[in-house]
Order: sequence, then C-alpha cells, then structure tokens
Amino acid sequence: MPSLLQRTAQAVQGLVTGLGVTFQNLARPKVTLMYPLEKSNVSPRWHGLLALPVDTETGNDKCIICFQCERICPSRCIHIEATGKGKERVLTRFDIEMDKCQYCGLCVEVCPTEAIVFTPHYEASTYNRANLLYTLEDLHRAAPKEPVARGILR
Amino acid sequence: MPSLRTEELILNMGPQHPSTHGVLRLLVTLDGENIVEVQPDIGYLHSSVEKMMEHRNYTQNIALADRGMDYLSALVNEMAVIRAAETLAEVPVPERARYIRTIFMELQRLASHLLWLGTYGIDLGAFTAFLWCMRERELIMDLFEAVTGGRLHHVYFRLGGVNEDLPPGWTDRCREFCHYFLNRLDEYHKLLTGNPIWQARTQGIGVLTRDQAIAFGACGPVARASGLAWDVRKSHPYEVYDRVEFQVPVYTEGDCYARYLVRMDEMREATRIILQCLDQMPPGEVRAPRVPLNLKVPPGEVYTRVESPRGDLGIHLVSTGGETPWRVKIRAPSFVNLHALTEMMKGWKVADIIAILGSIDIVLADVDR
Amino acid sequence: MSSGGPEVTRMVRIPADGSKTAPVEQLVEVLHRLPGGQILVTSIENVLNWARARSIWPLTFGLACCAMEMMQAMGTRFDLDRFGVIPRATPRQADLIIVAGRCTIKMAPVVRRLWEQMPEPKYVISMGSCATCGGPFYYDNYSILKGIDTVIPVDVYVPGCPPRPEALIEGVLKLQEKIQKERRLTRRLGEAAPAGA
Repeated sequence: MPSLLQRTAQAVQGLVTGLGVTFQNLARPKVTLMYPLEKSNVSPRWHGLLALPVDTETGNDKCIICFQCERICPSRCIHIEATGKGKERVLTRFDIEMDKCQYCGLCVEVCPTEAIVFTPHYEASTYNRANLLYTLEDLHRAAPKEPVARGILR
Repeated sequence: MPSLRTEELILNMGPQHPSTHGVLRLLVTLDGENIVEVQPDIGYLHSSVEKMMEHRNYTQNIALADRGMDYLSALVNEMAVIRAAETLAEVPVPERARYIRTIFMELQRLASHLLWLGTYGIDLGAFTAFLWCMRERELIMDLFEAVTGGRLHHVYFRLGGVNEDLPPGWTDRCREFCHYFLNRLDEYHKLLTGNPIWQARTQGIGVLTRDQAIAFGACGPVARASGLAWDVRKSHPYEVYDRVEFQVPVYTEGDCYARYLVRMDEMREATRIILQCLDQMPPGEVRAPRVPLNLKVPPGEVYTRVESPRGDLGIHLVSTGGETPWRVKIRAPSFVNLHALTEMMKGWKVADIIAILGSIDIVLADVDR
Repeated sequence: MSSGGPEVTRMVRIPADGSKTAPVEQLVEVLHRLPGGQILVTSIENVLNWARARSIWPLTFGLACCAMEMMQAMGTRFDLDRFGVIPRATPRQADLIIVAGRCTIKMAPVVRRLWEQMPEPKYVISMGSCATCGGPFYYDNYSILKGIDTVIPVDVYVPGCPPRPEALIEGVLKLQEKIQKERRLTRRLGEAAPAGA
C-alpha cells in the first residue's frame, strides 16, 4: 500500500495528465450546432414526418387506394377510407396518427405509386395532442415542393 | 462496555435514480457501509414484446425489435430476429448485404459502448468522458442517418438483405471516421485508463470469478472480463465474421476495471472489423429478389444467437407456418448479467454500488423486454 | 389564462393557516389596487416569466429509448445547456420532467410521485410516440400506458420515434414560449373580479 503522499502525488499526476488531454481540445474546432439559428442538413433518407404529395400534372392524389400501407403499418396508425368503384374510386379519408407513428418507413417502402413520402422535417411539437392527427389536407400541405424525400428519389 | 446495537438497513435505490441506467430498482440490504445483499426489482419497463411479436409479421417484428428490446443496439436486435426467420425459411442473402450488416452491427457496437463509457464516466465523476463520447457518437449517428434514415431506430435490415444500398461516398466517410475514432480512442485511454482516481474506483471492485460467471451464465464483456473467452462471433460465426480477423479481448481479473478494458478493446476490434469489411465488400445486389414482406415461414423451431454489445442475444422462434411467429422467446444478455450482479455486489461498500452496476452495462429494456 | 394550449388542471396550494390566498397573492392584490399598480404587476410577472423560461431545469429521468436522444441533446453537438436547461438529479430541484420513453403501468405511480414531488411551477414534456400515446406499443399490449397524459398533465408533445435532439430542443423552445405567456401572478385577480376583467 503506497503512502498517502505517494497516492496524492499519483492523483495529482493523473489530474494533470487528464487536464492536459482536455485542454488540447480547446484548440479544436467547435462541434456545437447553434440549433434554432443554424440547422443540420438531414440526410435525404431521413425518416421525418410523413406527407402525401399531389401529382403536379393531374392535381390528384397519387394514392391508388391499395391499402398496403395500412396493412404493413406496425403501429396501425394509417386509416384509409374510399368511396366509389373501379377507376372512380375517391379517397375520402387518409389519416395518419403522427403521435402513434414509429417512423419505420415500411409504408413508404410498400407504396407502389410513391404516394406517401418522408419529408426532411421533424419539428412538429405541439401543445395539444389532437394536432398530431394529420388528415388528408394536412398531409397535402406537408408535402415537399421539390422532390427531396426518399419515396420520390429512390 | 456493551457493544453497540446494530441492525441491517434496507435501502431502496431507484426506480428513478440517475445512475441506474434506466428504471431499475435495487433493494440493498446494508450492514453499516457494507452491502449484505442486493435484490434487483425488475419489470418497470416490461413492454410485452414477446407477446406483441406473435401478432405482427416478420417484417413488422423488425421495427418492434428495434424498440422493444435492447434499444442501444437496435441493429443487432434486428439481426437476431431476422437471423431466426432466415434460418428457418432458408432465405438466401446476397454477399454484399452480409457485409453491410456486419459493418452496421459493429458501428452499433461502437455507439453502444461509447454511450456506456460516457454514462459510466458520469457515474464515477468524469464528466469530460460523457461529452467526448457524445461527440463521437453523433458522428456514428450521422453515418447511420445517411444510410438507414434513422438515428437510433433504423428498420434497415430486411428478410434477405438490407433495405437500400449504401449511398455514394459513404464508404469513404466511414473509413475516415474509423481512422479518426482510433485516435480518439487513444485519448480516452490517456484520459481514463491510467488515471489513479479511475483506477481506485474500479480496480479490484466487484470481482466476479470465472466459476461464478459460468454458474450465472454471464455473457458478453462481463464474462470475458472474468476470463471466459466466449464470443458468439467466434464460436458460432454468422454473417461474415468468419472472414474477418479480430481478437476477442479476455481479461482474468473479473473486476470493474477489467470490464472497462474489455469494452475499450472491443471498440478497437470493432473498428478493425469495419475497416476489413469495407475493404472486402463486393459490389452487387443488397436484397434477395422475391422475398415478400409478409413472408410465410415454414413450420419449425429454431434457436439462433448473435453477439450483442451486452453479450449473447438468443432468439427462440417457433413457427406454425403462418405470417406471424407462433412464439418468440428472447434470451436477453442483460437479464443474466443482472443476476450476476447480486453476487458481484456482496461485501462491497455503498459507494461501489454505482461502480459495479455501471460496469455491467445494463439496459433495462433488454432485461424486461 | 394562457392562450395556445390545452387547459390543464394544476394543483393549487392552499396555505396551512386556512386563509384563501397565499401571502404573495395578497401582496399582488394590494399592488394591483395602487395607481399604476397594474403596470407594475404585469412587469414583475414578465420578468419572472422571462427568468423562469430561461432556466428550465429538467429532471434527469429517462424511461426508454428517447432518453438516449435526450442525452444526445444534452451532449456536445446540441448542448441544451445553451437554453439554461441543466439536468438535475432530484425532483425537488427540477422544473421540468421530460418523459422520455414508454411508461409501463408499473412505472406510472412512480412518475406520478416524481411529478408531485416537484415544486410549482412545473412543466411536462412528453417526448416521443410512446410517451404521447403508447405509440408502437398501443395495440396487442398489456403493460404499456396509453399515453403519459393519463397520469400527469402534459404541456408540450414532441412527436418522433425517437425525436431528433433538435426536435426536443424545439419542444423546449415551445415550452419557453408557453411560459412567457403565462399569467401566474394575475390569474387570481381575474378570478376574483370576473366582471371587471
């Protein structure tokens, strides 16, 4: 067992070594991102909020109402309803419960027409949970203007 | 003079305690400063994952395995679930996908060990380690995000491959990160390994002998720190672990310091594996064709294991031929290591609880499932 | 009351001596009656709110996966300390509880007790899908609580599974906005004289 003096000397030496390593970092470039002022570039594959882009040519939904996303969703947070038959089938309800969604991307993967896409947005904090139920209009509004999301790019 | 009357004190630690790494409750019986007995009370994060898996098909179970099991090693969980289903259904996996999987599992190991090192540093009073580990972890998260789209939960592996190929330029970024990280690892060693305060808090504390480790079925770094050279990647190689060269770090002391060193060495080995995989990776397809998302797995039973950052993660899968598994049993490494904790803690002081508990790197979602 | 949010019921502390109003509130009432006192009271309130919003001390309390992103947010790159968010280990010193992760039925009484142990004013951020409504664990599950707001009142919901650290920071900023709009000192005055207000 080393004496108290020796142990103290060791501790001081350890402290000096550690602080030496620490102070080397002072000269290194800063890594902190000033978030609200500057934003990080999220990757194009980022699983952000979901959106339903509108077909720019026809002005209609790209959704062909195949219910595949509703079936694959592990959280069961997509609800689709439609009326009509055959080619006249019209989407009457397309709700995504964003509070239940787990952003896994399976719905985007199975969609045959790339009607449902991820947007690179992630800021959707709200005071009221009811705001997190995204209806068809909300999803249209959230759709990216440029093709940035994964479903479009592929 | 009559001797002082003493009695044992039962101390409740948790479920809300900054050092329990989750929601673990420890019932500690104390005799003065000395620990007589420790009884973990678990179940505060029981998410009934095994039951939920029976109601979801194999692809949906990938998403569930990310969250419900050990959330710090999400990709390893995905691998465990997928490996069971792929073994039973005999799904072919392209070579490139195997390499990508290996790279991602090792990156996940790095991320997991970095978080452990950071939080263990906080537990023992070294705050710098936390900040630095988070800095390096962010870089790993960036690498993940560029490929999988998720930071913590990925849902990237699929039956018969992976979801998407690596984006262009990613391999160079990953290689750059590996070289950068090896330098940082030397810094961690400088900061902590030789530090007398760090050594005083960890050396000789919480010893688990080799026999005890075997008796408790301890696995992962806990077992390897006790002299038990047991690593699933070596003993039952999966994916491309038999094609890369790496060492399994083994220490014989069995104390907290040895467990710390095992993890530090594992990080170095993981970086080596990633670099080798990046060099060897062939071009080609990343996903086997004609594997539906709602794959019907033929009836049968299978037990597969992978090496998660915490140890030997096993999946016992029983299928009756449907789209969903009939029964899934998860053999969680943290769960068995938690039981070894009761033996490790006996006889140590109160202040060592934190050091010993932190050293086994417990994740409560893995314990409770 | 403050606008822009759901009305949440908060515990109102009744002093032990049986009087209806606390000494601070009596003082506010007196000040309010003075000429020009209304300006004084609202100014004091604004300063208090400003101070409160800029030093939200959260409880270091992680339940599951989202706690990892919370740690990342407090880590190097995102650095929540810039907003005066300094984690405290005990609920007695905390203003904010970030419920990060799924909460089981076994854990729910503990969360409730932690919330009750925090001194007023206290705020709750529900981080991630699981804390908000059970999220991925909503169906086929017997052990997870369907939303932390069945146990404690939530001020801000942050969606995501798990949310990015930036998303959490945005949630904290939303909370700051909410605190800035609060009328804690003068709300009693409005109740006392609804006709005049």
